[in-house]
Amino acid sequence: MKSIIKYELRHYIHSSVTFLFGGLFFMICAIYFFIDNIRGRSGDLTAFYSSVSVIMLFMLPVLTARVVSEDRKSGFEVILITSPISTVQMISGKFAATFIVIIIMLSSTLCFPAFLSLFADIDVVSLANRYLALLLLTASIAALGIFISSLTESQVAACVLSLISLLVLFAASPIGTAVGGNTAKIISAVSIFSRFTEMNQGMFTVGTVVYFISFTFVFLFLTVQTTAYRRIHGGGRS
Amino acid sequence: MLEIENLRKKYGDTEVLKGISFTAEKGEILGLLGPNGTGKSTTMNIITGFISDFEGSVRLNGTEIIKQPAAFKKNIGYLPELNPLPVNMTVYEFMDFAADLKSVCKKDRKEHIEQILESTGLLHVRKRLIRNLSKGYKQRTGIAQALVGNPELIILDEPTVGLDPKQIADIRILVKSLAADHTVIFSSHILSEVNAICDSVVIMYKGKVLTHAAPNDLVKKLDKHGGMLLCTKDENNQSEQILQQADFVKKYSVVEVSGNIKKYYIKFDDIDFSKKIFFAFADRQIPIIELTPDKFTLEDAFLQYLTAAEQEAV
Repeated sequence: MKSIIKYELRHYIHSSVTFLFGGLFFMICAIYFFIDNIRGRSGDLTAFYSSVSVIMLFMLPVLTARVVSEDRKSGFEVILITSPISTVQMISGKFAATFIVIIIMLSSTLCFPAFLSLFADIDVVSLANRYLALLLLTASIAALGIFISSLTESQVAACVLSLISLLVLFAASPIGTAVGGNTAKIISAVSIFSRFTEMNQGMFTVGTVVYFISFTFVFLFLTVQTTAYRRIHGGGRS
Repeated sequence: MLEIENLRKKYGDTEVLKGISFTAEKGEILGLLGPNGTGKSTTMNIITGFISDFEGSVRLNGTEIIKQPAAFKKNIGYLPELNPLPVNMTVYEFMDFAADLKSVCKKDRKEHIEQILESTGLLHVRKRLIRNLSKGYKQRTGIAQALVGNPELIILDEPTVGLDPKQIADIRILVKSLAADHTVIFSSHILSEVNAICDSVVIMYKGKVLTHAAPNDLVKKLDKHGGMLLCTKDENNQSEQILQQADFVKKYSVVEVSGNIKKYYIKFDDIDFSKKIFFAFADRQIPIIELTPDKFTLEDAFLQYLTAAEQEAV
């Protein structure tokens, strides 16, 4: 698995997209921080981290689109599958590398609360809870993106499909609220963004953590199954 | 030793492999031949572990691919037909990655990789990005990758496709040299190449093995009535008369006439044919310009097997 993590990280390091989007991510976060906290003279970071989650919603599909589809298209997947590593190790390695990049991106936002701590008291426990929520949310988004990447050889198609899926998940919560009743409760329970909002507002429940982890595992499992399905059918070659 | 036993594979309702069996010994270069869509790639995909759903057994030195996939794959080196390479890596980085995949011991890794790079003629380009290499060097890189971990079995799927004649010759020499320490399975559509490189060939047709033998044995088996090509400079049109009168000539036919230069295809049943025909023409003072055996080639054998299989199928 270590070899796959190294291979994927090398990809990210050599890709201009990573640095372009990393820079863009930091810049947009800085703008939101300025609007929400500096100009608004507020020490409350809830709105800021809510914005970070939305920025991630738009950025992560670009990062995850190539993870499986590129190897499929170039045929390099054959080299990986015919090597002694298992499909589970292969997909886990790809996910782990993507998650490392996400952690680096999120770490860069630590400078904002650090800057704010010069002027206001920051609740460290609440901050840790917010970062945990962001990590769980982005892990779920990455797993979904990698799964969609395994369905197609086209990076563009994978990116667009991931974005549409995430927008549907994002819109589910307000739509549920508008509909009201039990529908709202069900949608709120299954929407990753509703769960994130709860944690971002300081409501930590084990159920939410288990939900995010289960969401991530289900999509990684589905990615492994998709790859296994292709192995059974041998890519259709004779 | 690689043992393939009763291999069957279905895609939906279509059975692409219908119980094929063959073996390859250590140090043997085995050529897989057959028309497109005959099951060669499926066979190779199964042996490499790319296809996991099949019936039958694939064993390498007793290790079954289904029971111990990781141990089996560790003993396999594979160059796919399209030779997919990570173009952003240098040759050495790619080799190091391949060594990582095969869990090659870190202590001996550098020496192992450099040994492979030297044997494949890549040592001087090891620091170059793969994207900047020529097609020949890219192909060598693909083969070098297959050698990492010193696998027992090396599978090369059409390794000379798209190369120029010099590169083809270099790759052939390289493949030949691999047989000393490995079993090599080699797929190609170029029959002269298979003839030059392989110790044995498996001819496949519609998911079945038609025959498995050494190329020379295949040719000998079918070439029971060899012929000769005779070219004479005959100013008085006496050649045909000589051929008609000669009791050692079974049959002849005119291949080409260009002025007084005549070319004949002759079938005979006498070991001393060359000597007798020489004196028969010398007696009439007709110079023989060329007398060469019309050899039965692997291509002829391949086509004969396929024709017979097609007729049987009808």
